[in-house]
Amino acid sequence: MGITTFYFLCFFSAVFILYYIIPKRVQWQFLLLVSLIYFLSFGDARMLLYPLASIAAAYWGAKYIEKEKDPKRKKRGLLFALSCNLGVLIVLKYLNLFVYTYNAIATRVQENAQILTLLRFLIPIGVSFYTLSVLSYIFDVYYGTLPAEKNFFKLLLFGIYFPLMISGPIVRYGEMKKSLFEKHSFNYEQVTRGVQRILWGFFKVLVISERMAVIADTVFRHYEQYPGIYIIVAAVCFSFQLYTNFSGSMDIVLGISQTFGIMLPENFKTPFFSKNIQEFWRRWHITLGAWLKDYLFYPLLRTEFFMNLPKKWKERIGKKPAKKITTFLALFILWFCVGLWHGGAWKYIFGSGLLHWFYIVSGELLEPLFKRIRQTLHITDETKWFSAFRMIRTFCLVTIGFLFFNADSLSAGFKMCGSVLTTWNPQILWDGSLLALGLDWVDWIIAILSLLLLWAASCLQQKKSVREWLAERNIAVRWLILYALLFYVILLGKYGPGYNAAEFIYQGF
Amino acid sequence: MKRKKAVKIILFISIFLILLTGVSYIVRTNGNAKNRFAGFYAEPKDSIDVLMFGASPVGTSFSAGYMWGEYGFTSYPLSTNTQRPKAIRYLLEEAYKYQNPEVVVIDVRMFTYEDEEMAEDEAHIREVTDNMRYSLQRIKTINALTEKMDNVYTFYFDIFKFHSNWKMLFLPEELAKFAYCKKDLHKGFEHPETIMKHDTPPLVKTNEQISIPPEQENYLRTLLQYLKEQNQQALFVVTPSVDTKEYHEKMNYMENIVRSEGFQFLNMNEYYEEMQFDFSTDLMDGVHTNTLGARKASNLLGEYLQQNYSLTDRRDAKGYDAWNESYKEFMEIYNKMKNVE
Repeated sequence: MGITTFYFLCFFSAVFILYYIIPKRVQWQFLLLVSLIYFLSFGDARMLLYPLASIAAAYWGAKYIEKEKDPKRKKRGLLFALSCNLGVLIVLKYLNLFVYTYNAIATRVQENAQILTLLRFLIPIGVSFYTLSVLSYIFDVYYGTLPAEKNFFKLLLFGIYFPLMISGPIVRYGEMKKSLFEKHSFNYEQVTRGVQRILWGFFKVLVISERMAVIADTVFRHYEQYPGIYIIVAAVCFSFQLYTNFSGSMDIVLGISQTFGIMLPENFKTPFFSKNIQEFWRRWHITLGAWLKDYLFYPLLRTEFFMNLPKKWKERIGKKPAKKITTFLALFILWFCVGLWHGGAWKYIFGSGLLHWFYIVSGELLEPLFKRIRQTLHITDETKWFSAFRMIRTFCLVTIGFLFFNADSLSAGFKMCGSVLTTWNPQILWDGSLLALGLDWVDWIIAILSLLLLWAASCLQQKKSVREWLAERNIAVRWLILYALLFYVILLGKYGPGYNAAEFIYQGF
Repeated sequence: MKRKKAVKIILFISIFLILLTGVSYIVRTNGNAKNRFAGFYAEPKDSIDVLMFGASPVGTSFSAGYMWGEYGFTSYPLSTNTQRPKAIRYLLEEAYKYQNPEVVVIDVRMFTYEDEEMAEDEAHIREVTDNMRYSLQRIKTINALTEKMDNVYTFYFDIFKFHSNWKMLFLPEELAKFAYCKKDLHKGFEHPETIMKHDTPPLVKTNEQISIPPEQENYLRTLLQYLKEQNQQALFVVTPSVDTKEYHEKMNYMENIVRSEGFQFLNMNEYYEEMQFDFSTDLMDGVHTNTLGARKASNLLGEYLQQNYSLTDRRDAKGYDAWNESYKEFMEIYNKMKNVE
C-alpha cells in the first residue's frame, strides 16, 4: 500500500478520524496497532519477524547495557544488539553484493570458475530506515545520553511507526518519544498545515516526479539507443525525479505525522541551492548524513587507530598533511558507507558514495588554486552570478552521481558517461526528438511549469516557510491557492488505472 | 473559536466536493452517451412520456425528436452500447427519480448474449456507471455491475480514470456539463449517416423457439416482476436488423415470456414490408439503422405506442420548443441524407 495510492488515502483518513475519537490515553497504542496493520498490508506476514527481532534485540540489549556497570560487559551488550540489527541488514541487503563481486572476480580470473547463486530474500519494507533508527537508540543508551525504554511496545512503535515505513526519515528515539507518546488533541493549525504539506508532496510526486520518470526510464533502460545529449537530458530529468520523489514522499510522511501532532525531523532543505557538495549533503537526506556523522564518522575519528595516525605520519609528511590524510581516510569510510546504505551494488557505492568523497577531497586539495583564481578575477562569495555558477556546478556534479545511481550497473554508468563525451547531438534539443521519449509537448510544458512553481516555492522557502506565508494571506486568496493546487494535482497528476506509477525510489531501501 | 474553525473545515471540504463533482463530470469521456445522459438529466421533471432502454440500436433506431414531431409524445433513450440487461433495472430506478413515464420501451437484443462475457467488458459497463450522476443509486448500480472488475474504486470515483481528460475543461460544450445537465438537441438520438448496402433477407417466419442464456432469462423475469410491482406499462422491442432464423427463434422465446407476463412485444423484423424497410439504404451495418432507417423504425414504434397506450398529444401545448427544434433538426439531417442518396 504505497502512500500515494487510493487505498492508503482511505487508510490514513480512517486512522486520522479514529485517532481523535478514541481516548487520548490509548492514542499511541492505536498507532502501534495501525502500524502493524500497515506493515502487514505489504503482503507476507513473516516479514514482520525482521523488525520484531531487531527491536527485541535493541530492547533487551539496551536494558542490559544500562544495567551493567562493567564497561566490557556494556560493550558486549552493545555488540549483541548491534550484530543482531546489522546482521539482519547485511544478510538481507549486502550478501548478494559479496556473491556478485566474487562471481565477477572469479570469472575474470578463471573462465570456468564456479559461480555462486544469488540469494533471494523477502526484504521487509523500510529495513534500512528502521534499522538505523533502532541503532541510534542502542548507541544513545550505550553513550548514556538516553535511558533504556522500559516498555517494549513503545520501542516497537518507534521502530515501525507507519508514516516512516516507506522512506524514513531516520529518527532518534530521544527526539521522538515525547511527541510520539504524549496525548494529542485536535489542533486546527497542525492539521491544516499537515494536510497542506501532504498536498505539496502529492504535487511533487504525481505531477513532476512521475513525468520525469518517463524520460529517465526510457533513456536509462535503453541507453545504447540514446547517446550523447539524450543522456544529459535524462540524467537531469532523473535528478529532478529523484528529488521530487524522495522529498515529495517526505512531505507526505511529515504531513501525515503532523496531523497526528507528531513532528518528524526534516530531511530536505532545498538541496539544489547548494553551492558545494558538503552543503548539498547538509541539505539532502539530512537525517542520514547526521546519523552517519554522529554514529560513524565522529566515533571513527575517536578510535585509537585514527587518533594515532596523524602522530605516525606527522614526521614523514608534516602535521597538517597528516591530519588531512587522516580525515580523508575517515571520510573514505564514511562515504563508502553512505554508498553502501543506498544499496548492495557497486553503482551505489560509487555513485552515491565514493564519487562524492572524490568531489570533497579534490575540492579541498584544489581550494588554494581556486582561491587564487577568484582573487585574480576579483570574485567574492557574494557575487550573484558566481553563486549561481556554484549552484549549477554542484547540481551537475550530483547529477553525475545520480546517473550511476539510476544506471543498470556501474559499467553501464561509465558507458553512459563515455557516450556523453563521445557523441555530440545537440540537434535533438530542437528537432522534436525529445518528444519521442514518452512525453508529448503538453506534458513537457506541464513538467517545466511545475518545476518553475517548485523553484519559486523553494526561493520563498529560503526566506520563510511557505506555509507560514500562506497562512498570512486572507482566506479567499489562501483557499484559491489551495483549490488551485488541489485540482492541479488531481487533473495533472499521473496516477490511476492504466498508469504504472514508478515506485518510491527509496521504498526498497 | 472552535465552532468557527469547524465551520471553516466543513465549508472548505464542501466547496471542494462540489468542485470535484463538477470537474469529474466535465472530464468524463465525451460522446453520444455522455450527451444523451446529460440531456436526460436536463429534461424537466416528469416531462417524458416514454423512456427507452437497451443497447446501441436504441440510440440509432428511435428518434425521440421525430416521434415528437409525428406523434406528439415525448420520449427519451437511456441506452448505452452493449448495455447489460442487468443494468436496465438500475437505470430504470435512476430514471424514476426524475421521470414518471407512461410506458417504457426495452430493446431485448442483449438478452441473447452471455452475461459472463459482458461482465468482463469494462468499457461498456462504464458507459452505464460513468454516465450517471453521483448518487446512492449510482453506487448500487456499480455494486451490481462490477463483480468481475479490478480497481472498483475507480468506478465510484471516476476521476481516477478520467483525470487525464483535463483538456475538456477548455471545451465550452463539456464545461457546460458541470452539473451533468445539459439539454441535448438530438434528444439522445445519434444521427448515423453511414449507409451499408445489404441484400434484402427473406422474411423469417417461424414459431419455433431457442432459449436465451439462463442468466439472462433470469434477469428478464426479474425485470418483468419489477415492472409489475411498479405498475409500469412496458413494450419490449426488437429493432430492425438483418434477421436470421436462430435470432428470430430467440426473440420468439422472449416474446413468449414477455407476453405470458402481460406485457407487449414488438419484433420489428416481422414488419419489413409494412415499414418499407430498404436494406440497400437503411442500415449502417448489420444491426444498426441509420437516420433513413431510423425514421421508419420510429414511425413503427410511434404508431404502435400511440395505438396501444394512452399517450397525450402535446404538440399544441406550450413549452415544447426544444422538442420542435429536435424534430426540425432530425428532418434536416434526414432530408440531406435522402438527397445524397
